[in-house]
Amino acid sequence: MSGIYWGISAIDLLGQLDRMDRSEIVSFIKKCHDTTTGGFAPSIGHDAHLLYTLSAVQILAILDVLEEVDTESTVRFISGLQNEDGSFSGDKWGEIDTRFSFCAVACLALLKRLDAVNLDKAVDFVMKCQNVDGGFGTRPGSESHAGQIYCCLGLLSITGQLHRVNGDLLGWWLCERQLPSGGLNGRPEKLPDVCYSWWVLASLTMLGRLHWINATKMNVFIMATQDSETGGFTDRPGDMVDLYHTLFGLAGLSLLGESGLKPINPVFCMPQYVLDKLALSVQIMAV
Amino acid sequence: DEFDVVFSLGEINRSPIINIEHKLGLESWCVKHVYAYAYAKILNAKQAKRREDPVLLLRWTQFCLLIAPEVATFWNIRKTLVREGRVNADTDLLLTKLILSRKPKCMEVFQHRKWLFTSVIARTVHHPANGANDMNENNQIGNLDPVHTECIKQFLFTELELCTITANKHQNNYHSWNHRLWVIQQFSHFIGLNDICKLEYETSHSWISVHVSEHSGLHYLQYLLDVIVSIVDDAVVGNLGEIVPYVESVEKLYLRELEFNRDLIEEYKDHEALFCHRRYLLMRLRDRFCSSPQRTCSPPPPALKRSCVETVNSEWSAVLLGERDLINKCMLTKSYQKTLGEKHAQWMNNVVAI
Repeated sequence: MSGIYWGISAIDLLGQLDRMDRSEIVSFIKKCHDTTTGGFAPSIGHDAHLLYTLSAVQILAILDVLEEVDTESTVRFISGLQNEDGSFSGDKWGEIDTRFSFCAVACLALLKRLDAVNLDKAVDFVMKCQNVDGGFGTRPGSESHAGQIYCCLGLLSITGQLHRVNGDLLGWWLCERQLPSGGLNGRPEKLPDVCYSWWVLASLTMLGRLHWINATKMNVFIMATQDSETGGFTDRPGDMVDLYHTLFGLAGLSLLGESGLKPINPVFCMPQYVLDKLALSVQIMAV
Repeated sequence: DEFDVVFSLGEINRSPIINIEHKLGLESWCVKHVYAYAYAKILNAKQAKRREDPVLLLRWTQFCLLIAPEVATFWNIRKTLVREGRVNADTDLLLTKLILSRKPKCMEVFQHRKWLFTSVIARTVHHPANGANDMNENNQIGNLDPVHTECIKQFLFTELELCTITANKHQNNYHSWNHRLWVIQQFSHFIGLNDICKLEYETSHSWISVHVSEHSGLHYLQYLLDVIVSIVDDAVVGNLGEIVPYVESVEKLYLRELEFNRDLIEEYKDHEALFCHRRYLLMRLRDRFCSSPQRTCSPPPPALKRSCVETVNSEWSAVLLGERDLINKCMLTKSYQKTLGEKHAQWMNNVVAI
């Protein structure tokens, strides 16, 4: 399911969505819809989970066919996963992760049903995950990680609570992810990876500090991860290409203003026009 | 105690299983065939109206998980079987440990172990759970019988060992260290923190001394320090010296940590993670000095810049002088250390506001 979301988003950024067989995709999504729980599974026959529920709804939104699915059951699935402390479990088995908080809120925002959960508590839980360095981790106390930061900021942006974050401190941590090669890593002393050009750039965009990154060098790095034979992108130059890194490479380039790519929304990681059609706006920090 | 897939073209007609000295190997040629078979069986079973034989389900999921432990659906089947009493938690503890030998940073594996603890091991009475996080309220320190407490303790120490093994197998292993944090939280809930904090404080320093670029390991130490300081502040422990020998105050603890950190910075150049850790220590120490009732500074403002630093505080001034000295030393080197020194100076200016 996530693979389809990566592919669809990437191809739409390239303005080539028409090449995809929409009915085939919608049919697959419907088969992955667990009507008992309301959630979506990653593939046919698998168990529903918040991660794939978000992916499914994102795809449906991009294809402009949200009405094809019983989204009320999905809303029930999501609201049923919120815990006492405001956190969200990924599924009935109970694992808690700020990624799930983001999935829940982003999904409900797309379905225009943010009223279905306790947003104040959801925000409170995310704030408990803020660390001394300004970043966010999986759960309270967890190490700051660019991916988790993106999820937490995304949630705060959707709920209009970005002012709770120390923009300078976090912005600093984020722009320190840029390495001499121009690429970005997700945590100190790790290797650069093109997917972080999304998590970090989108986060900086939400914080109103995208200009804190050296855009030229970033651009060079992302371009270097495109494989000239297949056309796909990889995590770092020389490795195998895949859809995941292709989407995030393109998404990063779009944020940097690459012509030939549609503008992308920094919170939802979907083409901006889709959010405009849904009349969904996100909060961006003013600097 | 170890499992892995071994590359083999399968040109010789023989069993693909290799079993040498408790190490299990599987020849690569058979993987996709067997996986496809087991996968189809599992999904069919899920769909079918009649219940599948648990023994078979366990066998199929066990294989599939050895190959693809990221697939939650397989773990979910086993969770259901554990709940129904069809398989022992111990079996899955063995399976997860084996899988970690091949994939030491697989998040779903750590998740399953957490679930086994919360849903089985930690419960005094096994009852059909409403949700994995639904803990029996009576499961707190002092309410458990000694046998149960011992059982929990054993499990938690095993987890710590597993965390160490997986952290050693893969640099900056996020999920391994996250799991370790979780283990400490369980100690807090079921056993008590004093002893484990003392132990982990030592272990953590030893580990960091030989893994100086491990941001995850250093972050764990930060978490530990926060826990230690909170049990001192909450007067859970009589004095800090019970946990960290010869250290009498929290301020002195941070100062000692700054020294330890500085020694590592000077010995092992070019490590950003060490500087990140230093920032944490400085921020905690500054908050400590500035929150002391004798100081005349205002309550901490949410903004980045702090004004309390201007108040006369000789200890903090000494710290700042030390930082200036460290920065100067870094500026004299010709390597990345110089850049790190510059960044540290910038950070001090912008964040600590000197």
